[in-house]
Amino acid sequence: MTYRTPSPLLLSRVAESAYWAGRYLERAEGTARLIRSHSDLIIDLPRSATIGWRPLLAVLGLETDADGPVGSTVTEERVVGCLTVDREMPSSIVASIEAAHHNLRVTRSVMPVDAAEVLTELWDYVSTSTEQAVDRRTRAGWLTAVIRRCQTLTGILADTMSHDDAFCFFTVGRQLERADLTTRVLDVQANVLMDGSGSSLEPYLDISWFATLRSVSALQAFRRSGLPPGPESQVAFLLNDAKCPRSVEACLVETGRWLLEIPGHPEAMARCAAAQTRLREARPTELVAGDLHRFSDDLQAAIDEIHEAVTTTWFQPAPALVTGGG
Amino acid sequence: MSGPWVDYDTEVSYDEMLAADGTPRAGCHDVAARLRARGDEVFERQRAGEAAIRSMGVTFSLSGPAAAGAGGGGTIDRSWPVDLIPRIISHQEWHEVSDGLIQRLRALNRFIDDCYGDREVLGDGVVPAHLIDESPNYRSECRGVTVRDGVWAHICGTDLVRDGAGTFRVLEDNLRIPSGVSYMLENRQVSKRVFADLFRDLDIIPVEGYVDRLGGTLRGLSPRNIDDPIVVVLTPGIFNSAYYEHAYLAARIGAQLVEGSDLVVEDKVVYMRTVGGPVRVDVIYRRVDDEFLDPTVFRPDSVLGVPGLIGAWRAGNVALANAPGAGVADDKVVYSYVPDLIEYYLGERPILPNVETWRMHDPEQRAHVLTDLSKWVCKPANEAGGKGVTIGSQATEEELADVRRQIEADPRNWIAQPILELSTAPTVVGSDLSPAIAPRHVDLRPFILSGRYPYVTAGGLTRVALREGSLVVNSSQGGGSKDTWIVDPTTPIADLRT
Repeated sequence: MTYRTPSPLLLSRVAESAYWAGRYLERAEGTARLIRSHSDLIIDLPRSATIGWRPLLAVLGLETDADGPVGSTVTEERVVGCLTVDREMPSSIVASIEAAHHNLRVTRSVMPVDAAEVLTELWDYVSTSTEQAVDRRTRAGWLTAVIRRCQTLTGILADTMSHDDAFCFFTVGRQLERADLTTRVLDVQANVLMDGSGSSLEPYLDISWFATLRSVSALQAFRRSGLPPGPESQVAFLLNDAKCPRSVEACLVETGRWLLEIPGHPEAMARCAAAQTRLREARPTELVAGDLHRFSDDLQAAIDEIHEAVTTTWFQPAPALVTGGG
Repeated sequence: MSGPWVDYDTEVSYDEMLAADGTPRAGCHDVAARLRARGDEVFERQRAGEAAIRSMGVTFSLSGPAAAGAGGGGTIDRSWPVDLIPRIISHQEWHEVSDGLIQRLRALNRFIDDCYGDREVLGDGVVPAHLIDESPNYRSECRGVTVRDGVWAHICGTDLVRDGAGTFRVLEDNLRIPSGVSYMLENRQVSKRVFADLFRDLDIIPVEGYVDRLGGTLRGLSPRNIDDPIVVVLTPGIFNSAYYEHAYLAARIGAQLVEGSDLVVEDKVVYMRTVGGPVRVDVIYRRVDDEFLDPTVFRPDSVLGVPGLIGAWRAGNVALANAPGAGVADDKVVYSYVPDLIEYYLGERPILPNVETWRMHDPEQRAHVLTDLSKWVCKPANEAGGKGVTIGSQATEEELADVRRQIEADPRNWIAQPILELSTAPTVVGSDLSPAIAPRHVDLRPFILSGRYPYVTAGGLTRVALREGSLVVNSSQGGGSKDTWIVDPTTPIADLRT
């Protein structure tokens, strides 16, 4: 007799929480990487550089005008404070971890016990060490500690959690969030830096491109790829490289792979395929020449459509029940 | 004898472990001998136990005033407080208590069924009809409903105390949504880790069987005659103080942990929303109060419930445990009639006595109690969790005056009981630096499953008032807990030399 793996029932609400736990956890980790890399970059740039901390706010979708959360004077302390430990900021690291914690609590019944313990530890850590996040001398250590714990958590889930529907939703959430973040980084950072062509910033463009790669932890992978350094190859790498786990392409492939495991996936799969098609239309030379902003916007909209399909297919209450079958 | 036991006072009240002259009681001999021989080691074990609780993530939630609002953001998770020195009861004594509890639940279920059925008990004048009709926990919506085997309260937590003479008495029955059983189970896990040697050498009756029996009791209620009925645990959500327990029990009985919004009723059948589509639900172990169960029948503002749920239950398409309306029998005025109910329904003498109870709607009894309130414990008839209880000897003049006003305004909803000296048990007190062992007051909450195969937990959750002299054991008010060991003193013990 062959063994047939049963598929335990999964409540829509719990599936939704698993999905958001994945998204928030990825957001926390991604934001930490971004700040770490940007802090490095700022040190290297000339003091006259105007790049400052605004791009970081833009990547995370925060207003950068005087009415925005940071106000008119964009100081390092305020931006970093906002993005790391401000609980009122929906994309700050602390708020993301708090949201992940909340969502994982809902999914406690389907998650390994170890994972809950690590997340509680992570939450205790970030909520009791807030001053370390802002101070430049301790910031790198704080961010690294956050990243490590996020990775421990995802490692525990990948290696000990049953790869059932709940795990699929968690992973889809992570991959979509990661794809979204990579797209934003490309959009904002690349635009800002291309404005620098011909200006006094030109000598620093290469290091800022490296910072862009590093901010999504793709620098080492890019160097090993043997591609020639330069904006075109770097954009193409972050968009289309099939092997770099931070590229948009890789995130969408993974998303599709896990969506396929969940019953009722055709609509979400179709959206995912559409986003991949859009991605393959990328022409790096044109993008670098000025098309990147529009392209990133399109791509983000396509990613958002996958999210919408996931939400309407699985999370929203069914409008009419199919009775009779029971 | 030396060490922390030298000054132990056995005469504060009836002590669970040691008689007044210091000799161990039945079943306690071996444990007391070892604990005494090992002196201060007990403090190390206490710390080890507390560390185990933290790493196991056993918590309970304290709800602050902020948590009372809709958002409920004000809950704090605290580690569950456990005192590692076990509370021991002899197997022989427990056997009798178990019989008494099962007898009690048989009568209580007959009574509830009667209240919503033919009302013979009221017609025969055993209990005044007006008491039932006026009870806030009486649900007229349940009139005429037939439940399987006549059982309404499938899961009951009955609080027992010992009086000064050492007699177990029933303090109250919790027939609505009693909680605490997960802590009983977790306490055992911890004490097995910490006292592995004692568990090896003594025959301590396991408590883990409860989970299987609970699962069996619930599955047995399925209206559909199928092999794998769908059982769910209905929780108010993660901000509820007992959420930890809801999640714990759901996971162990293999049930889905659902909230009201996960369920939907169509054509008087309950479904849950899953990613694979709607799935029919057969049995709901609900941990939501009656009045929040169905906004179309009870409180219309409830967002915790399921519209149409009561209709589905009345139609017999889904079982609810406990059944709505079961709380009519844990009204504390009704409680005072339970010994009569046992004789009326079963024709038996009650095995377990009540605590002597004075009914405030009776003018003579009320006048007697009101002459000196400081000698009484006054309790509202329909609160849970120790809410509104006033212990006369520990209350201020204003508090007593306030209780007097409340009793006079609404005598039907008040009872008075003499102040009991709850029994004590040896407990680790003091700081980590200067720990000591001292007697602290305890009660006991066993859990009783009713149905075709009644079951009583082996022991139950012992709650301990950690403050010296305090009689309040609720964990929300500084209470702790102990593992409860049912030990057979007549079985030969393995090598007891330490």
